[in-house]
Amino acid sequence: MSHDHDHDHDDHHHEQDPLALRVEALEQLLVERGLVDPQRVDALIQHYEEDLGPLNGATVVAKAWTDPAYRARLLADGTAAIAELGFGGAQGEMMVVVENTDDVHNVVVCTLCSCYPWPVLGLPPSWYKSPEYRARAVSEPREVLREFGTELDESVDVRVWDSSAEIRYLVLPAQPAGTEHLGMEELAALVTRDSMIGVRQPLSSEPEKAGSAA
Amino acid sequence: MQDTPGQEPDRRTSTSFPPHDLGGRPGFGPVPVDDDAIFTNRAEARVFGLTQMAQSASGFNTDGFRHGIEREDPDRYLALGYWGRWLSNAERMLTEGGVLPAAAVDAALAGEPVRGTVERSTECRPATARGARRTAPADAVFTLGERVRVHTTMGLEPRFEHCRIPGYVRGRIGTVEAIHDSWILPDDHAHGRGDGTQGSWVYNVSFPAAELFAAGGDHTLRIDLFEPYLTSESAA
Repeated sequence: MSHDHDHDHDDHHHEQDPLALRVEALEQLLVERGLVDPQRVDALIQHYEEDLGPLNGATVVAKAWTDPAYRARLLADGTAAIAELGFGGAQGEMMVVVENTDDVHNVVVCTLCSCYPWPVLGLPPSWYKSPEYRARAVSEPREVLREFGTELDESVDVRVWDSSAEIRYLVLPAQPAGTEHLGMEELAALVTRDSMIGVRQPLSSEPEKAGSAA
Repeated sequence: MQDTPGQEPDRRTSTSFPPHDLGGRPGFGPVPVDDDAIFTNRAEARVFGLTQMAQSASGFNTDGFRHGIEREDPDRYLALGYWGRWLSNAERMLTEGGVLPAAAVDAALAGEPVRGTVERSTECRPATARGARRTAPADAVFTLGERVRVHTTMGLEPRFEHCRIPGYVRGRIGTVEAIHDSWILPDDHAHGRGDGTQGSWVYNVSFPAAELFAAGGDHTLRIDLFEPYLTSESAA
């Protein structure tokens, strides 16, 4: 997920954007009242953009793929097993990990707002927050998955997890065939954010596919 | 209230559900699968950071924050977009939290001075380090494998409250698959109630899609529901 590090210098591009004008006006009101320090806002944004992200979740998945005992702990108590790797905090206080197999495919959505496991995946992508995904993931998940290019056999049982309380879900994708020889780091590179939400499969190990859904 | 499909009004096509309750609503097109970024411009990132600070300065817990977004003008809910709803909620929380007068940002944008004070008008309380997780006063009422019925009208009347029942399972029967832990009922927490030691058990309940949606489906829904949202299948 790239973003523009030169944002401090391109504010003039947003002069006509009502959201930009409005948030700037609000920030000014709060700064004038001593309630907000702009540098703390910068730091908060930077934390969520750079310290959290799907690499955390990918590390968890790669560990589960290579360590059967860890995988068992992860499925039994997701919060504790994820904390073993140093991940936890807001919007990850109780984690449940659901496993994709040959027979079961899991997909995660939040129809009422946009709940998402921040400590392992960072902040959600725009499509996850879209009304289209929130409305249709529960009623026609196979069609939604097809829009992501994911075709499932009719025999596969699709489970849709609607994050309606404080539990946050992470999908443990099935390990791609032929990747058993790879190390943790190489495996983690195959584990895309979308595969941990359940809308795509992880990347196969062919290099030309790398990065297509990260 | 009848549970038989077809005998009650289909809430998915009705205007009587809250605007945020989108699950299963018809009429939406393809998912914008290529809209991949967390922020599409720097203004959205600013909204994210500033709204978190506004929530803190206004003294709203997470349930109160979510309820604020749910109270968006239904005609504007979708049009504002995700970050537009956050910014609108930041302004709402700041006014209800007694920090900024109503329409302060409109005044500022019009070049008018923003003066005066405002009384705190929300009952919501600041978030605590513990969040909403609390010990339940009693054992879980329902057991694994038990068939449970979801409340039909809770949180909808007399006005939309902060109720975490997705509309598409209201009145439906599901099976208890897991008993998670206990949290303050969001319906209470958003209004500053239940901050003692009272938690409500949260269950994961499964529902076959074929029983929920007019178009059916061969998939299964897995939804986390608080104990007060449920009754035993056999209860009247």
